[in-house]
Amino acid sequence: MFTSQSSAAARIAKRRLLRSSTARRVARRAVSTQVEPPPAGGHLPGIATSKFLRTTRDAALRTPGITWRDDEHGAPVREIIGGRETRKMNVYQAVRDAMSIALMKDDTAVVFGEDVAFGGVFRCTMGLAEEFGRERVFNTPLSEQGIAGFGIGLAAMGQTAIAEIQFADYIFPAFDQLVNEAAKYRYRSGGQFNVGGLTVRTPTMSVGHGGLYHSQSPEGFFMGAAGLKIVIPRSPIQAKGLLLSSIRDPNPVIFMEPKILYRSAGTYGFMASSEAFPLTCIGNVVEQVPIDDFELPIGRAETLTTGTDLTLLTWGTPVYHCETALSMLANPPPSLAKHVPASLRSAKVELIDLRTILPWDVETVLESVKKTGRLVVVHEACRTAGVGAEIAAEVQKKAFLKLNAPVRRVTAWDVPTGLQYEKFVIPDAIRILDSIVETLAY
Amino acid sequence: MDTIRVDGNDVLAVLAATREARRRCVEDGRGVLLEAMTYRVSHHSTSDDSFAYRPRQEVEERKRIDNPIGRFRLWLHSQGWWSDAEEEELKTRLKKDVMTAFKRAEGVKRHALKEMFTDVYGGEEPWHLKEQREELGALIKKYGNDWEPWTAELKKFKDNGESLS
Repeated sequence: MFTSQSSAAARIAKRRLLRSSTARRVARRAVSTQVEPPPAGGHLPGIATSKFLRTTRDAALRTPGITWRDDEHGAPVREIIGGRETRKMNVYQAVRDAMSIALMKDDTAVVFGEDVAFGGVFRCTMGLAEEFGRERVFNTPLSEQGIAGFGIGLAAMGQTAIAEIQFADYIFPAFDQLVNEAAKYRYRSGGQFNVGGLTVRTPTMSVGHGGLYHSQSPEGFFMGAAGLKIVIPRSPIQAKGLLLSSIRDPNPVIFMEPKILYRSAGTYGFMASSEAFPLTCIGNVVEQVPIDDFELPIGRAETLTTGTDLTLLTWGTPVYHCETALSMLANPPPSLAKHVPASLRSAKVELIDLRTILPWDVETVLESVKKTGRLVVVHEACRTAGVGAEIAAEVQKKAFLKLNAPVRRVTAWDVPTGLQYEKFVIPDAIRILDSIVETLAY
Repeated sequence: MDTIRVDGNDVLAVLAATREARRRCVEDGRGVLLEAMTYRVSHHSTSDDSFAYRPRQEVEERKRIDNPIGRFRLWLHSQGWWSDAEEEELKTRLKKDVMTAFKRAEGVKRHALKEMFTDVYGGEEPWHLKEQREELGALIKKYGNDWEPWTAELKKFKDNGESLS
């Protein structure tokens, strides 16, 4: 028994090693045949040195809002952090770690979707099928409506269903199941039944070369679907803690993972599967992630920098573009100096990561806007009826007399993300900087 | 409904089955399901390594013994209509044509940047797209020369991004 197990483990390890060495080979080839693009933010402090990433054990264990789940769910929470371990992970490893914990601690949990048994196109389910068996981690036919419907059925029968939609762009065939079935299940049964055990994971946002069907951010489409929750993490620690919370939340949750943040190295990524997808990362999105079971709160935003002059609100990938914009505001490079009046360079900007899109943390946002009097919302989805519109409407209602400038939205234009135009469709650091300066000077 | 399964790697078989299916559709006014069995020998995309989920040997064998182009060529040979010399000449010429086209295309500038906003709708441009197009135009005028990632990118477009507003 011992021998067969260990030889099986060795086989898996060898296969992984082979895969990763193939991946590296191919990645190198991909890089060498392509013209290196300039760094996403020019040669400016950007995500490669993001100070929002928790890269030490101590910082990781002190992540704000962290709740340890050492024992069975519902047991008293142990606050102690001494003796807890962390491991260096990127986003896809953290997502995998969360699912591994869910599968380990919850016998009813299953993971399914297109190609997930092979590891998934972004490696988020790598090795889970080998570890937990094909009965619990399995491939589905290429039918998003089927995946969602299957997950709803499982959840209705009391299982924990962790479904993957391979790209958020492909979630639309499942729209009916999610909006008409998952969102309404509890309500229409008068609270007798629910599908709270359903979590739908899906990679979202742009990557630099995704074109019309691999660049979209559909969170806004689900914002009107009362009964669903929508969560978008920005980093490995956030991904693990928020995913475990989403899986255990008593409501169906759509968990959108910004796909450009999955990988750590700033090179072309590579994935072995039928719908493989190359990634150009925008920096090192790696953190020391606690290896224990922990959760981060749904419905709570996180304030990343405090300030008194302007509130900058975003989620997912643009968190890092905002960080770059703030660094340029304080220290504009020579070419941009003339666009940033000296009087504004000392402005204190409060950067908030919304994290949960529905129900969004109106309390944190309002408290901040009442203090700063100015709000800029940044998202990758198009402008019209985007999440920013909802936030702006609520903020002007509740903080009208505190506002010193109109709420501004930095978003994609209301056009599909054409491959050649992407750099000018998706908001980048310069557009964020411009909106900050315009709003401060209003 | 009639159904037929055909060797999808046999060009003439596919042609014959399609002809017959068409005849039945037209004459009987009924649909026909034609299932052409084939095999994808390439990877799913340039970023896919399909050997992670299927054996390399399987693909190599398919390429060698069940290549639809190879099979059709052998048939042409057997009819005396095609030769190795002609094959080589054709391959060389086509390769050259493709590389020439590639080279030409790589040197061509992209459409004008303003095309980003066209064909979202037909007819009159809606007000919000007009506003957004002008907003981007103003941003490019302001930062086009001063923001490095844009400066480089703008040069790739026919209009250098100057015709947005």
